[in-house]
Amino acid sequence: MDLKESHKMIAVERIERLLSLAERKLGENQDLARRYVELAWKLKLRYRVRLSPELKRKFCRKCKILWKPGVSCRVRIRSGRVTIICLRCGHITRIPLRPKKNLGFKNVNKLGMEHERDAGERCTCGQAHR
Amino acid sequence: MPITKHNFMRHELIGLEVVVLESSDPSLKSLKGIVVDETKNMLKIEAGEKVKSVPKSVVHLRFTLPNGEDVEIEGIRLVGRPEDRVRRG
Repeated sequence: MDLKESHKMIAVERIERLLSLAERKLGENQDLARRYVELAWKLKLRYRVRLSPELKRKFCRKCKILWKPGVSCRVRIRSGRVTIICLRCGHITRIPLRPKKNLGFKNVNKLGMEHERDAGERCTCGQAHR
Repeated sequence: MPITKHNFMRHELIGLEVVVLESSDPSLKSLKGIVVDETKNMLKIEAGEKVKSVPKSVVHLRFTLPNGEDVEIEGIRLVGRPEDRVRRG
């Protein structure tokens, strides 16, 4: 298998582009967003690209749907892990929590997911929720 | 390396603005829109409300790259599955 570095560089850029396009399209067309994630996944497999931890946790490995808590997935904390249940295909993803991190709030912010809080509520993600 | 005039044939076309310059199918001429999907032989272009499927092999296209440059290309040179085009072209 000839894996030239130039191929890989282009693949990496395309994957990032596709994933960010997918996030933008998620509101208007979920199927299209899935298609972009699928394409990004194919590129990742073909050209042996490793995703960063933030990127790899944005979607379901099985059905490639972008996760949005409440809409496409259910997030729970069980037994020291964040458990994400895909509402589309039922696949379960578990992410271990490091003991030193704050477990007081549900660590959705650790995954970089969009989330909401009622106005004034405190959140560990550092964003101002209105 | 960002999308340039040379490497865009291997890069992602989805999300780029495109204009159909020439086509053997007159109904496709001067179609202007954004690429929303791609298969081996087709490009899906969203023009206003409509999404049109355009065969790559019969058109001549002008793409607008993110850095503002315009590139004209014969569609035949873009034929191929998107994941394969990284290597070829």
